[in-house]
Amino acid sequence: MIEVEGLTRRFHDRELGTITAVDHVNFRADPGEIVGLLGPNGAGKTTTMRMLATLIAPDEGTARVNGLDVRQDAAEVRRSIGYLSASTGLYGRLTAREVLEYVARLQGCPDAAARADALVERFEIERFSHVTCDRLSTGMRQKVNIARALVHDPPVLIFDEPTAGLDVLVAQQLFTVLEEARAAGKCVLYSTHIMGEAERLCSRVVVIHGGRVRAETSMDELRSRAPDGRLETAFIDLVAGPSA
Amino acid sequence: MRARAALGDLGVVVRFELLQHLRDPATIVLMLLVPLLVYPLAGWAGHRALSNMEADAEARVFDVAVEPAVPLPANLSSKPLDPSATVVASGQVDAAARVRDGRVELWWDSRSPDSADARSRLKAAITEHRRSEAALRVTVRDEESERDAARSRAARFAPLLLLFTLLSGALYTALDVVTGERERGTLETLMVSTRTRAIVAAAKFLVVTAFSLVSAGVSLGLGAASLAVLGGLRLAAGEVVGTALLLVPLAILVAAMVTLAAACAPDFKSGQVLALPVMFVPLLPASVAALPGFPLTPFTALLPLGGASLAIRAVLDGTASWPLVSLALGSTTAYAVAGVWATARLLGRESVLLAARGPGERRARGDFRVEALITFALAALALWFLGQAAQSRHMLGGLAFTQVGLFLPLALLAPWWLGLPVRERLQLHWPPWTELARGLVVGLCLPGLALTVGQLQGLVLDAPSGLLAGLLEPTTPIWWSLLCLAVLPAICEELLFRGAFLGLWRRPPGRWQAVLATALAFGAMHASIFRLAPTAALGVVLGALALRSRSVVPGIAAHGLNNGIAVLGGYGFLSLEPGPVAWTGAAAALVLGLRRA
Repeated sequence: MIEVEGLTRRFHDRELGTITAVDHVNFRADPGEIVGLLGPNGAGKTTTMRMLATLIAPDEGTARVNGLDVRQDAAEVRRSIGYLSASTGLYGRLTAREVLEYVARLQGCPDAAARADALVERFEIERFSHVTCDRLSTGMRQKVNIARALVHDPPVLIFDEPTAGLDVLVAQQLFTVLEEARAAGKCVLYSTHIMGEAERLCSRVVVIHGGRVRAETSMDELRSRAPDGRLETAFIDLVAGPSA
Repeated sequence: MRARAALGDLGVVVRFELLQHLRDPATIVLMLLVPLLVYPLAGWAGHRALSNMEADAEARVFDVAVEPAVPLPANLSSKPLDPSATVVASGQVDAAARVRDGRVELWWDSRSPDSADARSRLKAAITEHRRSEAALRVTVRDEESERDAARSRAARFAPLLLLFTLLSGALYTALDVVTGERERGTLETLMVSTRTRAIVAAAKFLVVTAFSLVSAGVSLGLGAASLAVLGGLRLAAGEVVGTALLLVPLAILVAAMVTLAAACAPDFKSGQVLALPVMFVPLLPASVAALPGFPLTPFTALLPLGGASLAIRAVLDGTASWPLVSLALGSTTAYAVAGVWATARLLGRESVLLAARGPGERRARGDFRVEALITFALAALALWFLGQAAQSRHMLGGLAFTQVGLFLPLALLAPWWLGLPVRERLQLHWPPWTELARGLVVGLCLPGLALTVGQLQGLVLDAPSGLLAGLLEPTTPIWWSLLCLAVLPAICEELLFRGAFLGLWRRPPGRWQAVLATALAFGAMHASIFRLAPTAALGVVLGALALRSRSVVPGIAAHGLNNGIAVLGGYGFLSLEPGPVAWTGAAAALVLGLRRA
């Protein structure tokens, strides 16, 4: 469902020169699984996900999402994914329901208004659906954003640190949504640096650091690498070395 | 089917973008309240102020001394002084005149506006008196012509006000829907929701154009109504429709310009900093409509923004020649199409939509176009402040200094400063002999090209004769003229333009874009509207030679020969006139110079 081979992206910084943010990354994620993309800040997680979402182009390598090449079939890739990140904002002067209807129309949903109503009900945002997004709380806004990513019922979900700033209750609702998506056979790529979230959701993980993949394995196998059997220890050993 | 789906997407994005934007109070203030309140009142107040100033000036009485006495109008007072420069310089009178042996001597002080007015009135009075010794004067007050004058005054400022409303309506909208949305993250949301970036770019552009047009339309309607109610000036329906028609491509052009500026701003704050020059720059060419001495002609109709402004003025003051207005409409539409094309290209880029790439990254990809433009700007500044000063002291010596002291160091320093291989960027390679021979033959033909382009240009723009004559003095040794006007420019200008500028511009964009940009810069550097087209045409051929041969040497040979022939023509050794020989030379230069470049 997601196949990444040799994916590379460089940026140029005036002071630092050329930085390889993602350096020949390979991994895959299949239908019916939630794959965790784990890494510290600046590891290259967001850049990888932005390339999979066709927001930025890779300098080298290939990536296929739902069988479609991110470079050649960018428009169809966008139809196949639900993408959520810290930088996907909502129109502040549109209401929550208007945002959902807007995106539903763009994604070609046959009855956009009905789809928006259904999501308002599913995410329990009826009370706020006619409030402009600028006036919503952080949690409410993120709920609307999650609904926005799911509006066209895509087969692939790419969620980049979606729990940032969320309270426990909203985070819990998000986990339920993702578990339902997995049960429905969708492929979920989930980036986080909170180990607890990864342990709860992900059956497999890809650990990325310095733009390179340090491990691609099952959650159980990764935990077993640590002397204390904890994911956090295994993760730290991978990104900072066993002595850290 | 795909086009229909794309149109559907476009409609959806435009609808929701408009909804989002119309809920912004600042938009309503800028789009409706500002034109509603400020511009009609400002226009009317300006019109009244101008009328009052002219009436005041007409009523003011100036002191004059005139010998022998002539009948003077009521606003001139004769003083019993001997007319001379002294009485004017000492301030005893504003102007003085003496009529002797059928000749009139007039003294006035050019630093004083009062003195200039007094001179005009005194001159008119003397002329009137001499035309009819009886000095019978009949004053006819024609109410209609006064109204015409008022209308003409209003028409002079209307294009500027309309352009200002177009800009104010477009600028805030462009900043909000491009830079603001990028900062708020909604652009990214949109990008992952829609099929193509072109849809997003087109929708943003349409929204900016719509707001700009509504703003100017409201301003036009209210301005016309204010003039009718307050000034007693009624515009005909055809005049309003003609103006509105001109506003459409003007709005598209303005929308393209401000959207480009907004897209280039990395964040909203930078966009606000850009707003002032973005507002100011388009108003400059448009201000020709407010100046006397700029009629709508086949040439002025082609001026970007200026042509449309002059056409609006002509439509509003009732002096429109419809073929010329159509030409202005056509040229503005062409500029608007070019603007839309540039905006679509820029907005479709990842770097612009997501601010993902900075200047360092651009340079890392070999794109040095901005640096090429900076080099050109530095050369223009050096020419303006240092070169012109040197040339005003000694024309040929100043030219030599400009070439060797300014252009040559800049050409060598630009790639070195950027850390690029100087020899490679400047194309300092010895070419194959065939290419050098081509350069020499093309050089012999280039004067024909310049003459032919100048002849074609003369159809729309009358150039003053003897442009080269100002540079040559009969007493100057010919070797010195050839050195300063042919040899040094050939070496230094080729290194600057076909070396540094073309070398920086040529990658990664298309080769012809680089040649055209270099040619335009080369033409503009000659700092004369009359020489722009001929020198730009030479620049195209010289650029093509450099691209073809991968060397600056054939261009140096061609440039040197062209200028040398012009110098010999200036000394009278050759006859350089447009005609069949020149046309043949032009054709040969184009065929040989542009062939498989």
